[in-house]
Amino acid sequence: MNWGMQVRGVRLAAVFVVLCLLAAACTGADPGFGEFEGAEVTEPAAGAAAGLEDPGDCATVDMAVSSEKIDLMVQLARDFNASDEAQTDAGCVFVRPASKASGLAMRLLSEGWENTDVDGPQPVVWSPASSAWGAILNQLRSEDGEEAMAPVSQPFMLTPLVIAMPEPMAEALGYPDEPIGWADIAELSRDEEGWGAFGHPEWGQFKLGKTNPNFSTSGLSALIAQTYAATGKERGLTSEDLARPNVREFAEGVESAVVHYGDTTLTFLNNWARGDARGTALQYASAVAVEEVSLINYNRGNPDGVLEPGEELIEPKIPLVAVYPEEGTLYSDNPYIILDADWVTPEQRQGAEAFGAYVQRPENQERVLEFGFRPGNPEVAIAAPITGDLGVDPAQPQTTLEVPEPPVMVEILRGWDDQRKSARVMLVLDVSGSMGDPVAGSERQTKLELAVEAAAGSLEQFNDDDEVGLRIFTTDLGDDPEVDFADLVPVAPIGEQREELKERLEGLFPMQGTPLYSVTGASYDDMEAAYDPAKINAVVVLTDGRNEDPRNNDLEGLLTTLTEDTEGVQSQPVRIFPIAYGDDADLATLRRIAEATNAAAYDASDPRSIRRVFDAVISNF
Amino acid sequence: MIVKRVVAIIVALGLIVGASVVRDRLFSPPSDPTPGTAEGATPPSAIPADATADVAQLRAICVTELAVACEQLGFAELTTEPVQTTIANLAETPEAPADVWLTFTPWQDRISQARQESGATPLAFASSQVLGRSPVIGVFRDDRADALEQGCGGGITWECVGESAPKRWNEVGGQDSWGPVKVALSDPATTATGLLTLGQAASGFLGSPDFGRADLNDPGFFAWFSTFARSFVAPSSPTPVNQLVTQRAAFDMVFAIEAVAQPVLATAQADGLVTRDIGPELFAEVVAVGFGETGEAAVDALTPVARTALANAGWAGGQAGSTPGPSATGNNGVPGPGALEALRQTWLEVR
Repeated sequence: MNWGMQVRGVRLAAVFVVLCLLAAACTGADPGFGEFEGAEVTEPAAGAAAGLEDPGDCATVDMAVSSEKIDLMVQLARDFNASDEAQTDAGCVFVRPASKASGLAMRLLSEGWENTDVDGPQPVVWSPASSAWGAILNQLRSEDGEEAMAPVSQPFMLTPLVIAMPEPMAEALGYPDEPIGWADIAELSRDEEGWGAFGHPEWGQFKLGKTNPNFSTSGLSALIAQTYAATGKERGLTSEDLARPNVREFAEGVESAVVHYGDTTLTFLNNWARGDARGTALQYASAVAVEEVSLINYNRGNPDGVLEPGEELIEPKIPLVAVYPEEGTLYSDNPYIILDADWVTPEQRQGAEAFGAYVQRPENQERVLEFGFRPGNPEVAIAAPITGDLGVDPAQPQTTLEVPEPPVMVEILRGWDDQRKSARVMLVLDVSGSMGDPVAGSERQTKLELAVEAAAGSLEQFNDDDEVGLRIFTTDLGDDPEVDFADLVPVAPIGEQREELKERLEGLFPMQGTPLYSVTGASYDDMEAAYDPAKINAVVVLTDGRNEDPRNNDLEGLLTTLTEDTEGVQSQPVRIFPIAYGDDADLATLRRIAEATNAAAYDASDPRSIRRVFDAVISNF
Repeated sequence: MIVKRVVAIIVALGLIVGASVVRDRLFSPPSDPTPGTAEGATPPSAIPADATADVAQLRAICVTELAVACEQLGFAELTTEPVQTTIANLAETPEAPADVWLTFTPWQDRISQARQESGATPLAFASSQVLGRSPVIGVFRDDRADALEQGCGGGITWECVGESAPKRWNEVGGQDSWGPVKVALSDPATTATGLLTLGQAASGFLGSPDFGRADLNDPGFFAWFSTFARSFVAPSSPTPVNQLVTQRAAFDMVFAIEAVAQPVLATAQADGLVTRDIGPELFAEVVAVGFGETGEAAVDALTPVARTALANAGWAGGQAGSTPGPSATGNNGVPGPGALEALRQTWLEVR
């Protein structure tokens, strides 16, 4: 099953996808430890991966771990590798963790993890945020006639899903005296009066943040929890439950309030933190479904959970509080899964078992607690920082939901594609001359060819009633020197023009230069002019270099405009998600553009990863 | 004499340290239990060095629930797996996959039945007496136990547990805010704990462990059993007692073998949990099975060592040099192998 390319129903509301292709040699960059190609740019602390580069002659135990625990796992691995425990009777062991989003790792494993050049080494140990991913993997493999790969495994640390809210907003709903749940979220989402119904019209409409459940554990847990809430059950969710009309209505109500999705909750937390610094946090989002550990990190002043060297922790002006949904919630139980895969050798398995025992030791579980997780080893009591002064409650959750049977979970995921917010997309491709440069290691394909391949592949992720169009741009495109773009296919339901879009994409060829700032600004303006409050409005910019248009070199002016238009109660936020394509892309500038609109930038410094990166970007919608 | 004891202690400590990193893939508890570390508790016994030398030559399979004890034994090779995995392998394998199997009675009697069912030739094996035993108990959130005792009319019975499983707490003596009654059970289709517990439940309803297929087909029993089977909560952890301790709201009660549960219940996070013995008494009894021509010799070598290791791990009736434990049948409350298998099949049918 081609799980990745058959994620259907990604409905993007009014998204301009701007693919700006600039002249630069693109070299393949090896994925570093602690992050993977195509991830949202949250570079690991410079010291985090130090000491994990060279396994020497030791049996290497590569690990794929979910991003929120990568710092902790790197520390534990470094200490283990230097200890006597790494010396087994089969020889020495070298543990090497790498960050990989849970849903992405699940997809790669279901496909056999074949492209190690792009996706990193095949893991011996997989630690997603939730054991539900292992069950889904086994279910998908079973559907393909394959053996299970992820045995039921021991959790080594825990964190429950919560609904994080700025404290004033939670208090407006009765926190902490009144229970709050998904039913309240669903009702708020549909209330046209928004926060005005609670005496706070200055907060505008209720805005919800949720990650894409195909990529993120928080998104998956939130989706399962809201589904249970719709049924009134706490266990035994069935296919019949999912088919009930009120369940679908409940889901559509909740999804209607989503500001954007994404592959990680860190996007929301980073944007919240920047808004908090400017005094606009309450306008970005009213509630975000996150893991308890992420809320603790945010309140400690470390919103992305990664402490860079020299980084100062600045506590937020408005802290978040954890709402443990009244109807129940799920734990991210972080299983330590030694994979039943044909690439795992007996020596690697033995080494993995040794490290698994090491992380369960009480002294290492105390370190788990320091990071804000609840210990999986019951010998270690729950203590600080799981405390009320950081917005969480160690006595909660009072209700835990049963993880649904794997076939039901797969059905929930497939149903979400129909329930999420719909899409309106303009694909805007820069066809500048530099896009004719070949990409090293890609069988002589050019940057344009790879990008076209990725864009054409992404068309399969849209449902027939999503609207998609195609615009190209470059300098000196036509007879009019003021016109830098041409619409090849108008925005219309893709079901009627999917083949035409593909044909037009495949007929593109490189031409002149790239006006990055003016195209970004013009696309933003066009999207804002046609703003649809019922949809997610966004621009995706893919560039392999930097602005080369002498007519418009005003970055600061662009950023000021974007920031001013994004904030305020009456704003119509259009989010810009840039992709840094190739080594010469101006990542720092692209990140500033993203932050100005409360979005995120993506790193595709290896152009061969563009397909995966595109999937991650589209996960925001 | 003193020197010999010192040497034996040093060897024993070395074995314990060396075995501490081996974990079962599916059902290992999160940490080594530390029976004997509580104040006033008996320290672990040393295992004689000459006995361990023989055991160190053996390839062993241990049922998952015995992982802690088996890690002390220093086998040449150790595979820890659910009981049904071993039975499935033994049903068809042309030759024994190991020298010894540490398991529970009556699964040693299932070997011949399973091979007969699959059409395989008989497999020669020898079986020990009972090396250690421990009862199946219920572990409850304390307020839920109190409520259920009231709701069941003064004492918790299996019939009452089965009738309560599909209900909400406000229907069985508890608070409305507690939601539905959540009874958790290790998977009876694959685990010894799950099937032994189910055996205890069936015995409780039927009044005796000596039941047969016809009893399971009785409409009254089947109605009670099928409702219970469809209402229980599947744990997401291979160690459900662990999950109840660390994820308190996951379920209200879980059933386990006392020797496996007690170390977890002695830990820092285990406040607010209580145990209850729900009749009829049922004991998980450990036996060693030796395969092939050398099976009997392997069992003889393993017996004293396993008894000590089991005692160190909290199993009763297994101290070295003591009178052998109760016989494998008759007074342990466990249904026969055929009855257990019929019960397992019934479970699979209704689930």
